[in-house]
Amino acid sequence: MDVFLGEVYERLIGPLFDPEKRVFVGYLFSAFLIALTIQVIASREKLVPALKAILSGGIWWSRSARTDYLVAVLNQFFMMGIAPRLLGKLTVATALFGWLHVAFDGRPMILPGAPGWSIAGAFTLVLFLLDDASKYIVHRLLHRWPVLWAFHKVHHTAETLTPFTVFRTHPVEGIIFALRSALVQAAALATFFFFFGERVELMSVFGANIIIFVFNVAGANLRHSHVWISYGHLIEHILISPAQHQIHHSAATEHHDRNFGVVLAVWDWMGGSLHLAGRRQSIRFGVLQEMHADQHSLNAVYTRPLIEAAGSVRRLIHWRPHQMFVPAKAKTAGLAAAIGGALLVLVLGITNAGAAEKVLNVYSHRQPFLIEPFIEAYTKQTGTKVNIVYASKGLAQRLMAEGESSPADVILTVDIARLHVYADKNLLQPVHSDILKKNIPPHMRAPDDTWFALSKRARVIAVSREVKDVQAIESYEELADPKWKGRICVRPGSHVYNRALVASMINAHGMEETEKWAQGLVANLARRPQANDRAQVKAVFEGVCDIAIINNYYYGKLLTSDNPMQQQWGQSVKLIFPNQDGRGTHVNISGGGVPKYAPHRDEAVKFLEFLTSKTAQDLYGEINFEYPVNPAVEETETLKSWGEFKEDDMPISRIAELAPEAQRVIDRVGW
Amino acid sequence: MFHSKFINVGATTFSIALLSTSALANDKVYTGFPVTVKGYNGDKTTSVSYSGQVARHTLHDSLKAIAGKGNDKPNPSLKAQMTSYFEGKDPERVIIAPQSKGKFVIKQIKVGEISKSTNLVGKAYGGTITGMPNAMTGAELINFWIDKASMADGGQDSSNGYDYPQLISKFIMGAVFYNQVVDGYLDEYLEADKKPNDKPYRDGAPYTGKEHAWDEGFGYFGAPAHALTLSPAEVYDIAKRKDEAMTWADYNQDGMVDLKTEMVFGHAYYAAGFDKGGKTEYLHTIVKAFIDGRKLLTSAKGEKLTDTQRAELKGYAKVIHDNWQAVLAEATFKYAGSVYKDMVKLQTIMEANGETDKMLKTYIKHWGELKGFALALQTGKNNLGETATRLNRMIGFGPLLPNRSQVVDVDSDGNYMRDQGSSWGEYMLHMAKVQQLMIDQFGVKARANDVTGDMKGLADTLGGKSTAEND
Repeated sequence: MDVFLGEVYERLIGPLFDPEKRVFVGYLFSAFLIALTIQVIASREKLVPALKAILSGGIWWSRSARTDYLVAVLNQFFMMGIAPRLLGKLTVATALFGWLHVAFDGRPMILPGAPGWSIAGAFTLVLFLLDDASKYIVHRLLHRWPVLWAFHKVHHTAETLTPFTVFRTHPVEGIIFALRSALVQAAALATFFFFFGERVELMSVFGANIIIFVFNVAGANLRHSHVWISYGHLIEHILISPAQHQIHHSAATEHHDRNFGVVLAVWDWMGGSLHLAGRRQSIRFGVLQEMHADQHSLNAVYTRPLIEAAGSVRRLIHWRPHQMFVPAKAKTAGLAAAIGGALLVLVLGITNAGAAEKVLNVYSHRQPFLIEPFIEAYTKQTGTKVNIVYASKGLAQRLMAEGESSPADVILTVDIARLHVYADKNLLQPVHSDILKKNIPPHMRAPDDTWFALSKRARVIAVSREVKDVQAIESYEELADPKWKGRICVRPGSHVYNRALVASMINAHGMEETEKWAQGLVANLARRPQANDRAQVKAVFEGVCDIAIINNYYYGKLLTSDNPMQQQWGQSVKLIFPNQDGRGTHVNISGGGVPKYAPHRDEAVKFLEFLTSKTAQDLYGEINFEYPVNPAVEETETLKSWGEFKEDDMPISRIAELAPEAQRVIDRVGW
Repeated sequence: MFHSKFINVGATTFSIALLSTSALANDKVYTGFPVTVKGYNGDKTTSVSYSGQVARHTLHDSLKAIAGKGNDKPNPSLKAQMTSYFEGKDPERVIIAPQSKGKFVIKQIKVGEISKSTNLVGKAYGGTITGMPNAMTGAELINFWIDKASMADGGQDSSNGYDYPQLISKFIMGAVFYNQVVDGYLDEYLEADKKPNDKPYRDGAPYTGKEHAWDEGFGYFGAPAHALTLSPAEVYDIAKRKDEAMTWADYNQDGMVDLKTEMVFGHAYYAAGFDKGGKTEYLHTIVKAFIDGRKLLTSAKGEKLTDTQRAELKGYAKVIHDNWQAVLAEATFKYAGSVYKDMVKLQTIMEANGETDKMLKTYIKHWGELKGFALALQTGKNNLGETATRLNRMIGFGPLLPNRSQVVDVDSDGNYMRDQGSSWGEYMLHMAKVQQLMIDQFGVKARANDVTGDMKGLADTLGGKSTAEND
């Protein structure tokens, strides 16, 4: 209760003593002095009449002003409930700060030598500009959008203006302002903090942004007053004068939707909504259509805007053109169809659940969308219900931890290194299947029959179609030639695809030669190894480099991407299958095996056999542009169109064996 | 001092009188609690004893010191030496750390001067460590690291990103000291049927079961007995063996620091380090709870504890547990921040094509501290569940290295296996999230090296409490 009362007190009285608030007593006093000076000097009034004019009861205790006070108090209670539930600036800033790390791949600190005051100055200025510009935009929307105008109108029905008219605001607007403020502050905070770290600070006076402080001391409160102050033709293009804001509150038609700005007038100038104050004029404040008896009632302030806004939303919905063509009967029919469909799905689901007694649990490193078509085909053929657990990393550790109680029946991986991990940890059991032996060549399966290749992917060279000389490349070895300096892009060496390539080089040339080659390759890189294979093709498209090393299927994925940009990246390169005159192109595999404690071992073997059948082997090509491992199955037409090639037929298990040596080479050359 | 046999055999009133005077004199010091065991006829005047724990602190500090002695080649004798400090029991083992430094004179030179046959392995956490590959137990993991450390260059493996002295040390702080206390002495040992208070800990011992279990818990925390008379900064300086710290370390003014009662080790050092900042009081809170608990045990006068007494004791144990866990969370928070800051610096150097070697060493060292503390945090009595999973996933099995590789596994021959890791920026973000996790789950307050702390401070200066105001 004490806390509650404390907050009530702070919210009601606090703003008067808070220099961040417009109604801070200091600002009110400065405004009063300015008003008095203007009345006495410019209007040549005597002191007493001037004071009377400024403190006129007709203004300060008018029906309109009394509503302002009441609304100010009531709103504080509303906001007390609402404010803690609103999206806070720190939440947004933290999310944005995080996103910047990913967008910039790290945190590049800029201008490390810049003096602290310059960064503080830049931050204070940017924050002010963003704040002022966004206020202009939101204010403009509040006027132009009927749904929002219903709420903002409350502020404009004020017929007398006092500094406290700022509080005559519908709570919905309060929410909009809070969100705007959170977003703007978060954007400035996160961006500046990300690039400049703890050097960022706000230049402030008594805790208020120095620019806002100056604005307020200079009589900002007179905007909501009957004291006419114009800055003159020139300055009013830059700064909004109190008179300009009074024009904004004018009921006159020619003054509608003018001068939305708060501090700066430039936004209005740019947006075509600037209205200069000109000669002193008598202005009637308010909204013409609303000038009836109860416009200052609580009902008019709080309830009516909600009803009006709901009305505009409804009108908006009714404007949907396609609805004009949907007869009422069709709607009913649609609903019936939907319910019927749902029931059908339910019934089918139950029947299906009853039928599928056979179960198979797959632990897959392969992404679900790549494996699901296989599962569908398998379930269709056998009726077996297949459950998938997908994770790109950590499945072997999981299987190990689960031990004998593991539900896993089949392991699927996307490369030999990860497959080897299972064999190395003794997590797989040998599978003696004639079908698998017939469908998979010996160099594509484990010597002890614990794992099997299921598809092949070639590590190819993608070269720019635009550049001539690179199209003549014929081998991996050539990539170390100094003539390609600064022209090659590739992902980090430690990635399993590259490590497998290095292992194949060690197999062909030995450690020493391979290290020399890797050194040459790294010396030719156009940029630090980064990101994935797709990004290398993008780099070729962008002209960062002319040569990229990628897995063949990424080419297909780019060409058939839903994203037109990615299609362009794909179209910008041509594939070269290296070493056709020698040992052939390096291939890696996707593969699988049966865990030692598989509860449904026989089903698991059947599933692996299925994956080497023609149906499934075709799917590898169709879904993911991979090559069949089964020699009896032809590759898809698309794959054929990229060129036939000879593959390096070293035993795939050798790649796993050579992986530690390959890693050492990669570390030593800094790939 | 009086002869305790005489007192115990004699009048109980007299022993109460002694208790109250000693309690008054040593109100803030963990010492001098009298013997309460019924029928004790030995010559000890106090029941306080935790020398085995202090000996283990010296084994731990020494092991950490030797773990940094490798020269990048297989070194069986170094490995044997490390193993002797982990598994051996020889009282002749020299205390390699801490040793006398300048005016800071340490009383003991050999481990046997503290406790005769002590090792670390016997007390190491027996559960599975899920934060590292291959489901090793605590002892297996430490042995695995000892083997690697013996081959590393000055304790560091820069290709894979490991700093073994840090990993071994911080992990032992959890897997031996913290685990023994929060999962044993202050947990199941507080039950009625375990280590009862109406019997000696073992036949002929001057302390009851409950008294000794409580003392051992205090010993593992690593605070000097007179910690409550010292400021956190003073405690911190004792651990650093500063010349001037001699004045306040040497509580009995005999010109030497007795490792058994006057030195600062492990957790107490970290608690003091955080408390120095003034936002927390972990050290004093924990030590006070230990002393209050010990007073309660003494007041039971060698009788079985009532349920009410045990409930009160469990209350102190909870205070100790919660604050101790928070110290580990603070350390995890601090080093996640260090790793983050090192990554910013490494990136700056790499972008300027500068020499990263030195910075990389710091980065790997800090990562070792982070990982060690994060694993230590998981050796408590509670299974941290999802918090542990998230922590392990975000930190990974190894640091993200400048060539964007990261250890993802250990093969059956003990070789590290790496793969391309996350992007640099994502890993930095993981560090920030580790800090957030420590705030959310353990309510850390000291928050050293807070990654977003300055942004929070800056956000506060912007004000902007939501009020409905128009223009």
